[in-house]
Amino acid sequence: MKEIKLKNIHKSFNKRTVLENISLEVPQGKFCTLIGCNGAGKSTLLRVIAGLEKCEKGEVSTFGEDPTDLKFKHKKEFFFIHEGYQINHDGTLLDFLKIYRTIYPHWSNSTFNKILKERKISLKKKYSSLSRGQRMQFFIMVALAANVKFMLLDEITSVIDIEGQKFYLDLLKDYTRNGGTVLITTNILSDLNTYTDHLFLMQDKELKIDAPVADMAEMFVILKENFHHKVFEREDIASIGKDRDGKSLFLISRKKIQDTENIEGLLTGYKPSLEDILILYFKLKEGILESEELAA
Amino acid sequence: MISSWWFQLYTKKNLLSSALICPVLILLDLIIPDYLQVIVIPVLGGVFFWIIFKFFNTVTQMRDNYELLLNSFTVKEIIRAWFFHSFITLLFFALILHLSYFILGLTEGMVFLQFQSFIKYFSFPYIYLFFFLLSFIQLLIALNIPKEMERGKKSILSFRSIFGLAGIYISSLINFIVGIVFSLLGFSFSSIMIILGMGIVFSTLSVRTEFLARRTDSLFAFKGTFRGIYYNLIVCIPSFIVAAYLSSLSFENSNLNKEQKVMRYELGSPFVSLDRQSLIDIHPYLDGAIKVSVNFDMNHEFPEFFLENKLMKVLYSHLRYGKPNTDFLARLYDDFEVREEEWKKFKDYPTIRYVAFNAWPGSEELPERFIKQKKSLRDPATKED
Repeated sequence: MKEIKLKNIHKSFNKRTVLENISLEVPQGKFCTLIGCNGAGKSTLLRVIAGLEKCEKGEVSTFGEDPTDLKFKHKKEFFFIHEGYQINHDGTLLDFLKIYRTIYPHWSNSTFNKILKERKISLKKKYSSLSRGQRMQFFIMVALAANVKFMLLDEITSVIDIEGQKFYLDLLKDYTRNGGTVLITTNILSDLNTYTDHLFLMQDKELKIDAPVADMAEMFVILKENFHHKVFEREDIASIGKDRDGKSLFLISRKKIQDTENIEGLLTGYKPSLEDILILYFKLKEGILESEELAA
Repeated sequence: MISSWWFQLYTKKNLLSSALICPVLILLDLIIPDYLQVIVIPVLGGVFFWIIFKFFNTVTQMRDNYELLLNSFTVKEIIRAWFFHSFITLLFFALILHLSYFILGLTEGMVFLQFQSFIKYFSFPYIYLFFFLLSFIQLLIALNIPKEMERGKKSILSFRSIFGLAGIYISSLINFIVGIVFSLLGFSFSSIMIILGMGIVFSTLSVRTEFLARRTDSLFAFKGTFRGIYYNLIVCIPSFIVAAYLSSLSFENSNLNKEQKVMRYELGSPFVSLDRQSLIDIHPYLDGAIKVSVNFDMNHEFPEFFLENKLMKVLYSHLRYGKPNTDFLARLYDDFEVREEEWKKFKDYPTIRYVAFNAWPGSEELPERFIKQKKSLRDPATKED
C-alpha cells in the first residue's frame, strides 16, 4: 500500500480552481521534491495530503484512508511543516517538547538531543521569541525525533540559514535512506538538486512532471558546442551554460538524437542536473515541441 | 487525563489563574483596613474578569493553533480535548470561588460580606448568562454556514448538529430562567447544561469549523475578548435585573415554602422588602447578608423579637446600618441586663453589645443608668487576656 496516493483530485477556492485532475503516488523512502511557480498549487497539494483541505472531486488516500475523515487513524504517522503556522502560546520550547514526546509513540530522545546539541538551540526560549527560521528548525527537529513515516515540508529552505539548510537536508536525506519519505516543496531547485530522488512539477494547476531523477538524467545528454554540426540547428535543444573551457553546453533528449549521425565527438559525459532538465522543459513547454519524455 | 497534551498546553495555566482568586481574597481581607473596604468589590470584579479573560484567551489560542493541533490530532481528539478543558476549567473555577467564600466566611470580616453580596447578586447569574450568550452568538454565526457548505464543506457541520445544538441552548435558556424563579434543582440543572453545552458549542463550532474560526476572529481575538465582555455586559446586566425583578414579584406569593422564598430572595433581593414573618422564616439562610430591606419599622420591635427568633445578624445590621432610635436602644440595654444569660448564649453578643452602645446618637445624652454599663464595655476586637 502506498502511503500517499491521489487520484483525479480537484480543489478550488471560491470558484478559483487551484488543483485540477491531479493524480500521483509518492514513492516510499524517497526524497521527493515538488516544484512549481508561485500559486501553482504546491502548498494546497500538501495541505490536501495532510487532510487540512477537502477536495471537491477525486480520491485522497493517506495510508489508505481519507485524511479529512473524522476517524482518520494515522495522524501520528506523518508530520506537516509549513511556514504559516501561527502559534499562539507563550510556552517555551521545552513545554512543547514535553507535549510532543507524549504524543508520538516512536519518539526518540537521542535523535532530538543530538540535533539540539549540534544546532545549539536553547529549549528555555519562548516559542513566540523565535524567528521564522528557528521555529521551522524546531519543528524539523520534532518531526525527525518523532520517527514518523513521512514528512510534508512546505518551503522550509527559504527561511532557514545556509548552514542550517545543509544540516537539515542531510538529516532528511538520511531519514529517507532509513525508509522515511519526504515530500518537500520549493521555488529554488538548486537547494535540493543533489538531494532529490523524485521530482514533481506543477504548472497551471496540473502535474506536469512525475519522474525519478535518475531516470530523467538518463533521458538526456549534454553536448559540447560545435555549430558546424546540424544538431545545433534543431529547436528541441537548449543551452544550459558553459564548461570550464568556456565552451557552451547544450541539453537534448537522448531519444531525439539517436538517429542523428556523428555526434560522438559532441558528447560530454556530464550528467544533466535537475535545473538543466527544467531549462529544456520550459523551452519545450513554450510550444515549440512536445515533451514526451517528461509527461506525467 | 492530567498528563494529556491539552491539559499541559491550555488547562494548567487556566487552573493556576483561577487558583489565584483564593489568596487574593484572603490577602485583601488581611491587609485592607475597614475604611477601605469599599475598594473590595472593584478588585474582586477585576480578578473575576481576569479569570474570564484567561479562559477566553485559551479559546483564541486553541483557534490560532488549530492547524498545528490538526497536524498531530484528529478533529475528534481536538473536540474531546476542548470539551474536557472547558469542563475542568469551569468546575475548578466554581470550586475555588466557593472555597474562597467559605474561607472568608470563617473570618466573618467585611470582605466576606462584600464577597457574599458580589457572588449572590452578580457573579453567578452573570457567569452562566455570559457563557450562554457568547455560545449563542457563535451558534447564530454557525447558522450562516450553509452557503459555505454548498461550496464543498459538507463534512464540516451537518444541519442536524446545528439544530441539535440550538435545541440544547434554547432548552437551557428556558430552564435557566425558569430555574431562577421556581426551583433550585432547575437552576442547577440548567447551569450544568449551559456549561456542558458551551463545551459542545465551542468544540464543534470554534474548533471543528475552520471557516467559523476565521469568521469569529473579531469575536475571539485579544481585543475582541474585551469587546465581547462589553457587549455581553450590556445584554447580561439588564437580563439579570429582569430576572431579579421577576424573582421579587413571585416572592410575594404566600404559598411559597421557606426554601422557595430563599431562592427567590437570593436573586430578587434588590427589589424585595421582607415582611416580619418572611424575615423570621428565611433569616437562617441569609447568614451574613449585609443589609436586609424590611417593610416594617424595626425600632418598634422589642428585644424578644431578636432573641427568640435568633435574629442576631439582623439586629447587628439594624444597629450598624439602620437608624436605631433611643427608645429602641434603651429597651435593648435594659434587656441586656435583665436577660444577660440568654444573650450570652449567642457568640455575637459581645459585638452586638459593643455596636449597640456605640449606636447611641451623639446628639442625645446617654441616661445615667446605662453609663456604668457602657463603661464596662470592651471592644470585642481586642483580645482578652
